[in-house]
Amino acid sequence: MTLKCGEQEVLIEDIVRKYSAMLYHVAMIRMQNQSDAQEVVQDTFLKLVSKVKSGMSFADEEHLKAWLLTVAINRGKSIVMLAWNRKTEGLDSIKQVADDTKSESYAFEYVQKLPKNYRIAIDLFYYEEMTTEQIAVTMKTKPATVRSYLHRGREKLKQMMEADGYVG
Amino acid sequence: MWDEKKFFEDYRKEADKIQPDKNFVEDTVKMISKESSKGTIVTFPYRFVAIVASVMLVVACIGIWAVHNNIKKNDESKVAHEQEIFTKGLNAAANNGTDTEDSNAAANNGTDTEDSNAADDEKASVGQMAVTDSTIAEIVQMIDDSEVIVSDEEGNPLDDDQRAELKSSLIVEEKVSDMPEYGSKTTYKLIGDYMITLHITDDNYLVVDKESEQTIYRLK
Repeated sequence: MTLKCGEQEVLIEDIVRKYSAMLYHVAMIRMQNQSDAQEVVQDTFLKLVSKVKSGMSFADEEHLKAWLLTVAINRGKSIVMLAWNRKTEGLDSIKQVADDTKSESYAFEYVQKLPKNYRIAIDLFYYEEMTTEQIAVTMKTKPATVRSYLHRGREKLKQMMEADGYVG
Repeated sequence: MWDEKKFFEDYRKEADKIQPDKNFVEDTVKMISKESSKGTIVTFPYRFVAIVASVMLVVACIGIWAVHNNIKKNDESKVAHEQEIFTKGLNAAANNGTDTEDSNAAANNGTDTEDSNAADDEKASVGQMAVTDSTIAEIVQMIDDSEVIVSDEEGNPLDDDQRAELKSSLIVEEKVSDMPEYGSKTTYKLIGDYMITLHITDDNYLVVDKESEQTIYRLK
């Protein structure tokens, strides 16, 4: 099966290989749980297949990327609602993720302690290098709200690091 | 001092380690490949069906309305036609009874009818043959209708003979535009779904009051 992306016809398998890492990363930031993140990734691609079968096409690769991220983040919301009783497992996963990525700076661990929207906005901004406008589309909110998430997220990070004695 | 730039550089490096398992990616590729090779999902075109159903409903409503309207029109024209025939007969009978000396009446009436503008529904034709005025036809119809109360000025209902007499007196000569200066008059009230008041003057004028509108005729 191929997907129309601008003028190009791209194999759906190539799309999966190309964007799995990005979706998994965002899903992990969102879900903080490996199994939920994997579920989000697979559900997102299944939805893509369904949409392509019904004739959906994308203007360009940026459009496709934004669509995939939006679906993944929103799919994450419904999984969180269904998986409220897996909270304990989630906490363990956060520790595992933090342990896996631990370095001297603990930057990843601190970001994971931020509220959900702050950490998603920060990840998309600093890791995916998206603009606040692109993040706003993905998170289905206003650019001003995204800027607010980023500002407050940075403030919180600073406060946490000060409290832990990392910042003097 | 917090070095924000360095913090997020570190974050990028650490976050870069969050990668899916290679087996997971390959499993996902296989799953998606299998899913995409399944037949195209034929989604039921709900929106299309809804639009077609709406259009059909509107067309059906218009059709029913048109048929109903047509039947109503036919009924109305049938009643008007019967009324016209009746009135013609009535006028002819009255004329034969009262105006026997005019042996050329029939011929004259025929000429008059030809001369008159038949399409003008509001114009009462001269003579006793073709009274096509819709108001007179309506009055005659009301008098014939037993459901309609026909009473005199005092409110006393007219009996059948009086109704027939009243009906036979309504032979229109012409429609006039100005109110005549009449002396005494006889008033009748026709009360059905609405009320019509008739004033027949001694000098043979008929004043019809219907829903605050007056129409004046000169009677034969």
